Amino acid sequence: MTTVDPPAAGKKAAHSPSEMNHLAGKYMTFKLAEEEYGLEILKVRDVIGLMEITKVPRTEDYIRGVINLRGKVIAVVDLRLKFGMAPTELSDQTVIIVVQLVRDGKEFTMGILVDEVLEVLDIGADQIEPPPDFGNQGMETDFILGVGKAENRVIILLDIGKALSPGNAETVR
Amino acid sequence: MTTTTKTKSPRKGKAGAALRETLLKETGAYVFATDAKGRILFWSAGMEEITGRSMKEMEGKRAWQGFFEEGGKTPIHSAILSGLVEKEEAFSWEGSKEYTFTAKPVFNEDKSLAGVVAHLEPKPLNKLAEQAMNNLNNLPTPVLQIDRDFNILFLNKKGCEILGVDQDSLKGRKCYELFKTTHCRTPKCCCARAMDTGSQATDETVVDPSGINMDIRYTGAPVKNDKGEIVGALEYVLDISDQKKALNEIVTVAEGLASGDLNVQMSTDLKGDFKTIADNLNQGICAQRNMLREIVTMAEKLASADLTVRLKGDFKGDFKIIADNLNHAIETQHEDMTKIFETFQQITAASKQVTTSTESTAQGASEQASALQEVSSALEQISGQTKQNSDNTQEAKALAQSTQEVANKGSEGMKLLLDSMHKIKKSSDETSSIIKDINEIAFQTNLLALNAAVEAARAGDAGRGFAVVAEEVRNLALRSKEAANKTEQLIALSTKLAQEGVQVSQDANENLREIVDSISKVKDLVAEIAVASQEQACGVEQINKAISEMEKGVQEAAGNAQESSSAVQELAGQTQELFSMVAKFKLDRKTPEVVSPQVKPMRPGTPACGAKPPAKKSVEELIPLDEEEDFEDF
Repeated sequence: MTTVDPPAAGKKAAHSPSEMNHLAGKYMTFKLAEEEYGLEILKVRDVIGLMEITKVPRTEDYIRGVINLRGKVIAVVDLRLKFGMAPTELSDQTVIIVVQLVRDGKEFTMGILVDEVLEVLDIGADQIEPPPDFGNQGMETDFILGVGKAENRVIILLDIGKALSPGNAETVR
Repeated sequence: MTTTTKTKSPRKGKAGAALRETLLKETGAYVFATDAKGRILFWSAGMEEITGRSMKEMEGKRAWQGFFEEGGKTPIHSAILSGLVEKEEAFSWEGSKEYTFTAKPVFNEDKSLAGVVAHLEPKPLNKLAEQAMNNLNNLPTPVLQIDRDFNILFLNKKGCEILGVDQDSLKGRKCYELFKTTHCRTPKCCCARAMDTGSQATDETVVDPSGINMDIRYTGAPVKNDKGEIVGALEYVLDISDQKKALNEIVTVAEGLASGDLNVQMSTDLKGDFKTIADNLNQGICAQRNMLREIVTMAEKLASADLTVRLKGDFKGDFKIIADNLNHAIETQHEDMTKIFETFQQITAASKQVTTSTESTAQGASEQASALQEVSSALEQISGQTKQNSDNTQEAKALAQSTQEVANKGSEGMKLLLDSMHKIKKSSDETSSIIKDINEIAFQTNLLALNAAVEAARAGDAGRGFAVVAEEVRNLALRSKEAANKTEQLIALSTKLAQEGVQVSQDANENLREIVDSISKVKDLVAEIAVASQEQACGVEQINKAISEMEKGVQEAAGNAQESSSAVQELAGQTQELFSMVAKFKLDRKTPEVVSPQVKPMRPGTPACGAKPPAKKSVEELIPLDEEEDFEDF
């Protein structure tokens, strides 16, 4: 795990193997449905247990509502819904990962609802593959940084900023 | 007879009226006269004689007022009325002879009726005399008339015949010359006596003892003339020689009979009544003799026990009655003997059967006794078994009791087990919640470790060591989570097992309860069995008593059977003796009317006993011995 130096965070993803170097580093992995996803650790602000989510009217469906995180109200996104899956069923493993993003030069915090948080994983460059080519299917795959491989597992490494950008994720399917 | 000559109508003479009247009066003629009114003027002595009324009585009375018919229609009455001679033949009055009654009217010179002369004349006197004379001559017995000097005046034909003289040659002969009786010329002569005394005499003597030698009875009667002087004698003789002979024979026979000699007999040449007497006597003696012979024969046969004998002669009168009675007596006896014979046969048969029955009764009694012995021993075994049963039942009872206690204890233990299980479940539940807490803590710790790792990553190199610690913490959290999960699983398993254990112990408890219930029932049943065994023992005891009494009874019955067997034997022997006595009697089986119809005639040669009784059927009919059971009641 500590064999590879983690790449500098915030660097733009490239599809060349040489570009994979900058993708190497620590990822917080979690589960959505049966799949394992990775999230750049530096984007993670906090991991909290499930708490009461207050619904906000006239918002997108994938917006589950808002929570009060130590006095700061943040939105919680149901990533499953954002990714076109069935809504998250709350369990004792359900957690909210609080991420800190920069959009349009402005920092904001947002919670994402995931089925289960797994671990903080150090992924080397050699363990990362570029996002797969789906041909000219018009598929937007830029919210995927790459695909990490660890012990036969496949971890989809997300660019969570792009994944959460409005109008983007819905077209993933 | 002699009167007839005297009583002729009076002679008319020249005597005076008084004399005439006296004559008339004294005449023996039956004459009387009446006046024109029928009043009696004259009533002759003859009338007095035949009517028993005197002239004095009758004078002046009407003839019919005296003794003739009252208001009588005598010829006198008729003559007065008619003036003609009236006559009535066979006139009579009460008790009188018959007379010819002639009434002749007498007229005066002026032709007026002067009176009636009546004349009664006995019915034809002359004819009677002639006939009498004739009869006298033809009389079968000698009749003799002599004068006072014993000169024969008349000897009838029979007399002549006996004496062997001619009737015409008798004149001038003396009677004693002819008859030469022992009385002749003695004062014993009845004729002499009659002539001396004027009254008749009768005696017996013998005519001509050296010649004719005839026994006679003779009567001498005086003969008087019209003046009543004895002029001779009339003698009539009866030949009594036959009588004498017969009487002598009768005397002999009577003497013989008196001395019990029945071989006497009267001679058969007797005559008249004596012949009849002799015949009858002979017949009677013969009948007696025959009867006696038959009776003797019969008595001999009866003495040799022959009851078939009968008097078969043609007896008469009392003999017939005697014969009938004797026959009847013997027949009755025969009948009785036949019946007795029959009865003895039946008794013999019956006693044989009784003997057989008694023997079988005795046998049955002894069999019964041995059967009772077997029953008794079987009962003893039963008794022992019953006692053992009782003991076993007691044991079973105790076992059931202890089993119940054990089961109760088991049930209590099950209850405790159930409680423990419940407690286990409860503590498992509590442990589960603790595990949840641990899980929660592990989850939170994991989150904390992750957050620490995030912080360490932010810290860059400076946070590298911290990241390691965070990683270790996270690992610990994961491990504790895993341990908690495992514990949870184990707890869940033990909870499940505990649950199952609860179920099982509940089932076991239920089963135990059922066992307890069953055992309680078993206990009750065993108690009942114990009581029943007790009762059974009692019953067996009673049966034992009854059996021993029965044994006594059977013993007694066997004894009785033995006794009655010997008694029957004795009876059979006596019957046999009696029967052989009865069998001596000879009975006639060819006279079925003697034997009663339902009894078969018996064979004379039939042995009394031992052989099959000939009247088998009637025995069975008379004494129904159909089943032996009847005899077992003895």
